[in-house]
Amino acid sequence: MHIFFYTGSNSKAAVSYLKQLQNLSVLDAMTILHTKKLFPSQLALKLRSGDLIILVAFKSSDLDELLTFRSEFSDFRIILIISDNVDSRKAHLLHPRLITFQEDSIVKIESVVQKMLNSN
Amino acid sequence: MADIFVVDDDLVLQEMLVSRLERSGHSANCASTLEEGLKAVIKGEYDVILLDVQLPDGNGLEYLQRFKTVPSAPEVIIITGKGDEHGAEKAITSGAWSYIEKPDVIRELLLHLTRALQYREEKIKGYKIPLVLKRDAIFGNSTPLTKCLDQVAQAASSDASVLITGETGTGKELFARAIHENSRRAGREFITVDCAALPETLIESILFGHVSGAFTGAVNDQEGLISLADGGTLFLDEVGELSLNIQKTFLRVLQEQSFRPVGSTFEKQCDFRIVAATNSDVEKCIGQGTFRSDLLYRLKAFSFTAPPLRERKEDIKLLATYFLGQVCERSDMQCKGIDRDFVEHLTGYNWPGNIRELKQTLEQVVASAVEAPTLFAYHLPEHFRIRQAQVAVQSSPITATSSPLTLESKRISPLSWVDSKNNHEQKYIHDLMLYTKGNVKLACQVSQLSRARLYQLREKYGLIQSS
Repeated sequence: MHIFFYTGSNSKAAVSYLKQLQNLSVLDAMTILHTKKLFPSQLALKLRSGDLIILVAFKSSDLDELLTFRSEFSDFRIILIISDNVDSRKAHLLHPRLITFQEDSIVKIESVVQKMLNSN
Repeated sequence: MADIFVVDDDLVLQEMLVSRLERSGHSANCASTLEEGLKAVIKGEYDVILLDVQLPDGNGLEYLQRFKTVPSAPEVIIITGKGDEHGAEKAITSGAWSYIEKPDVIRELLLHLTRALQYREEKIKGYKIPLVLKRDAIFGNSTPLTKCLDQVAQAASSDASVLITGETGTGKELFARAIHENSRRAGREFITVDCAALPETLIESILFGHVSGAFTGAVNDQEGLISLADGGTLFLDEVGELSLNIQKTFLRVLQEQSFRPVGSTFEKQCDFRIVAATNSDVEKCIGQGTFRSDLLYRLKAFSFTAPPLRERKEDIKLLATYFLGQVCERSDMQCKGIDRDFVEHLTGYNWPGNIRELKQTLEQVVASAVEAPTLFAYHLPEHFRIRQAQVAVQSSPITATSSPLTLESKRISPLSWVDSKNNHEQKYIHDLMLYTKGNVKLACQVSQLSRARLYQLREKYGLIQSS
């Protein structure tokens, strides 16, 4: 299982969150997909069914953008990080394996990714 | 919960059954003869009759229809001291729900009873099997798939819990979604719980939600997945991975249809349907003490197995065409053609990783042959081509031990590696130029060879004129 990261926004909050994720040893080999260039892109050609994509949507518009790729995401495992401003019920349309909030401890993501890697 | 009537002349067994049923929340009455039993059942309202075969005043199987046609139209489960094939056949053809031998009755009763009661509940509600099944991304027409879709349709027509078993990568989640999409709950949410991915420390708060202050970091109230599934379907993927502790809690939720968010003092009611999937042998897990049998009985009121891809090879071409279209579309590429030998190589393979492996392979092929308009076996990962070549060698008369040519063949020395490689290379370049009608640019795209290397090879094998 390969791990990818994507956010539709270059906001400070998203960039800072990514930095926190990159500090986790479990995400050492994470590939960062280019903002606004999810599909198609040269990097996206590395995606294989069953891979994990960590998605960040701190604004409702970010989530709306992700939802346009809903069918493309159906082959992958999704961990979705949202903020309090984002409708978590709507976020479930992406069928994520985990929804977590910006304010939640990042350890939550670490433990889920670790478990996914162990069971893979 | 349900009203059960036991007709058996073995008083000890009667007592054991009544006690077991009452402990499970049912009410039970009994009789020791057919006549006595029939009278009581006609007067009362019973959901299920447990009917013995050898009774003092006759054979229970002969009375089965009379028990089934009393006003409450109960389901009948036959319990017999000594089962035999003929008796079992007669019981089932006469409309019995199931047939249990007495030594197993205490152990198996609840499973049979749960299923019978769920069936009865749905029969009363009068659900209908959908005539046209919405099957979205489930492609194929093979017999194993068609049988499986029949099961999906049946499951969709009821509200019973479903357990889908099958090897990893067989598309169990797709079948679960199809059940939801074709059920009366289709307008509500389909919520997935990945039991294999959620650590035990998180699973309770993720499933049941929490209230603010429930634990360090719980700043706000948070809705759990069960609550989100209200009115819809909760899909427990890899249910065999749930810890015993969570199994116990979850069983209670299924029984009560209510749960308590972490840190809350109030119970919340919830109406959801359970579809679970696993690639583990749950019966074996029960034997090993890692899975609760009572939870399994709750989960598998209806169950079926997703067929492995090796048993539905006739679907591979259709699946490959669909997946290629999907991958090319998401990568903004022109849809690629598939050559016959590409499909032959795919169907010649056993796909231990099933449909997921097929998808991953096609994704790999597309990524490595971005420019190629048509995919040939040549574009497949090496292990496919090696395997196909090995199969070809094994089936050729040179190595077939049953062939009359064997002795003679043993005296024929195989070609040297270099000669053999050259033969294959020559044939490949010949076929390539034939396919591209001599178009060098296209040949370079298809073969992924550089223009210079292609020229070199054509010259080596004297194929410049002929192509």
